[in-house]
Amino acid sequence: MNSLRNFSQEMTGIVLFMLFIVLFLAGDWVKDYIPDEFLTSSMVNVITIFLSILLEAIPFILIGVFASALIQVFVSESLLQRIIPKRFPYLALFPAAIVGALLPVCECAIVPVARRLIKKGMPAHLAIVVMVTAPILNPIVFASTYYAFQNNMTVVFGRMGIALVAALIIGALLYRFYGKRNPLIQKEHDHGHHHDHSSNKLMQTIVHASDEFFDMGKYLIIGAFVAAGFQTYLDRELLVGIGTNEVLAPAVMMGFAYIISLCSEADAFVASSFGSIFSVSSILAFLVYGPMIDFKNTLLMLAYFNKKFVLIFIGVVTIVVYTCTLIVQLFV
Amino acid sequence: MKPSIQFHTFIRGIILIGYALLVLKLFLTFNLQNFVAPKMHGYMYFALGVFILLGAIQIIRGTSSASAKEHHCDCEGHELPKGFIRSSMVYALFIFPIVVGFLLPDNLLDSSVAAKRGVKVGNSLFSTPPSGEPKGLSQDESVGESSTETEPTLDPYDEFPVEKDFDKLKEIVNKREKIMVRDEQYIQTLSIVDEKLDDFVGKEIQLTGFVYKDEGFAEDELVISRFTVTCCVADASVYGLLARDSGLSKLEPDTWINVSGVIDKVDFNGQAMPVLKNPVFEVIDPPANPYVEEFYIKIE
Repeated sequence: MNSLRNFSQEMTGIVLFMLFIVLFLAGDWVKDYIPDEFLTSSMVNVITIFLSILLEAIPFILIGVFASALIQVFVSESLLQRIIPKRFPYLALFPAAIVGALLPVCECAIVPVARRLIKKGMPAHLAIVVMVTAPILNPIVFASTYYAFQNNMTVVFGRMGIALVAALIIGALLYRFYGKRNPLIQKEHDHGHHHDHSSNKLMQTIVHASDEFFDMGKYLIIGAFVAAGFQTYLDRELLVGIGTNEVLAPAVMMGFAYIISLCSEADAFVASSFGSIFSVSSILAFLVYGPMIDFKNTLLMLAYFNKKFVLIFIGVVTIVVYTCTLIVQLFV
Repeated sequence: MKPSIQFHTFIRGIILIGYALLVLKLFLTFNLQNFVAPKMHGYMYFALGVFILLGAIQIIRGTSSASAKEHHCDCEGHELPKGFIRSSMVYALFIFPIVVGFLLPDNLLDSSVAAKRGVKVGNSLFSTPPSGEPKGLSQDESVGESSTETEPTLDPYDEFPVEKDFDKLKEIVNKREKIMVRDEQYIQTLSIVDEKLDDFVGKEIQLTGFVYKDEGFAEDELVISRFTVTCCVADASVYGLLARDSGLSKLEPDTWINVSGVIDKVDFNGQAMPVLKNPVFEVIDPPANPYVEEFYIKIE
């Protein structure tokens, strides 16, 4: 019985492998036999955008996975304990924001890093501050925002400023609402044993990386697909009609940022194409909210955090960013 | 039938190799740029290497009988899918992008996507006014009457220098009698023209792009446009130059053309906008790289 099982499992793998090889070698030939009904141009566009989001996110997920592996190896629990001022949970928000600004990773890569920090004993609200600041307060994002909005420094510095202030408020509110509870998904057999088969640290890192890729990958794939659907079917001209409304426009742009799930390095250029239609504050809402949370990242977070925490997080981020942009509107 | 841990390792290894093959094929066929902007390709090489490495190790671990359990570390909270149906679904999810990736026709974004996103012409987003009324363009006043004197010709692009520095490019564009909009500096050149439109009225300009027509356009109007991609196709937006010519507008949308004409100025919704007039053109195949780069200066 066991050998039968082994045999069938091995066959599954081999068949799958053959499938990939055949597609690799003869994919172009197989293509011609696909009936046209499946390949309507909008379907092809959805798949093109889907693959492009996926392919573009994968290296960064991998970087995040390796960064988290590095933290695992080089940052010890005791070091974190010493650095973080336990008695001043609110004061600790500021160094957390600085750590976020120093980490040169973007939004896909930061989720595994934040989770690792929590696992290492960093309080959740601080790890979240790192998570929301890193994708915005970072030199590459600053540069791309700068070049997309060369004639509008309010947007460039407004984005950085609002991101910092909002992140601090988000951290404080999360501490208030969620306290010191552990937001990570607890799995059943959580035996915290340390396994020091240290002969093979590299091997372990590699195995972790693969496991983590599969943990996040399924959420990434679903997220990328839904975002691609929105990208293809949502007519952006609908947004233009609302663009002039002062109260509604930031909210609409935040919703838009959420569903299209762009990389924070690229979103400034998309935002700049709306430049003349939307108010500065709604552009800022788009640029701050999108990197902090979007559809793709919600799913990535769900891979690690429990649902209640993710919901509270989204709620807090939404309210804080919206309020901040409305306040900014009064001054711009 | 409950799949063993070893089976998960094995199948995951094969899926990783599948991704590696997909990325490799996209590199080999030069189709990767249809998905991911060239400046991100370094990251894709990294991903390719990681996939091969991880895949190979997982397959070896999955097939050699002894080692699998030793290294599997479940103190990390990695959850293996439970049960046969669940794991099949999860792995089907991972296999799906690989399969469609191999089977997708060599697709370029076309003007149906442009229509959903709006086309950026100069500094304004070009989209139909919500009323659906074709306004603005009908009330333009032609400024450059003298423009008819220039006879546009199609010239090879390499006569025009590529200049990375924006200010130097500005000088060159200002000096030249004829402006060649090279793909390397497509958006830069167009924004230089747009910025000081009055200086350029009557000058000749040549560019390559696909035909885009909006519902709100008049019979003889079209935009010669290009998609620009910053990181991946998801953030693509459309840049272009408005053209007016009855001959040009007979072309089907998405036709690629190399076109040369004279710059003129129109008033569109209160904003001055460049328009290409009196063009000569040839229909061409889509260029090797259909997308142009954002106006983005690297800081090194």
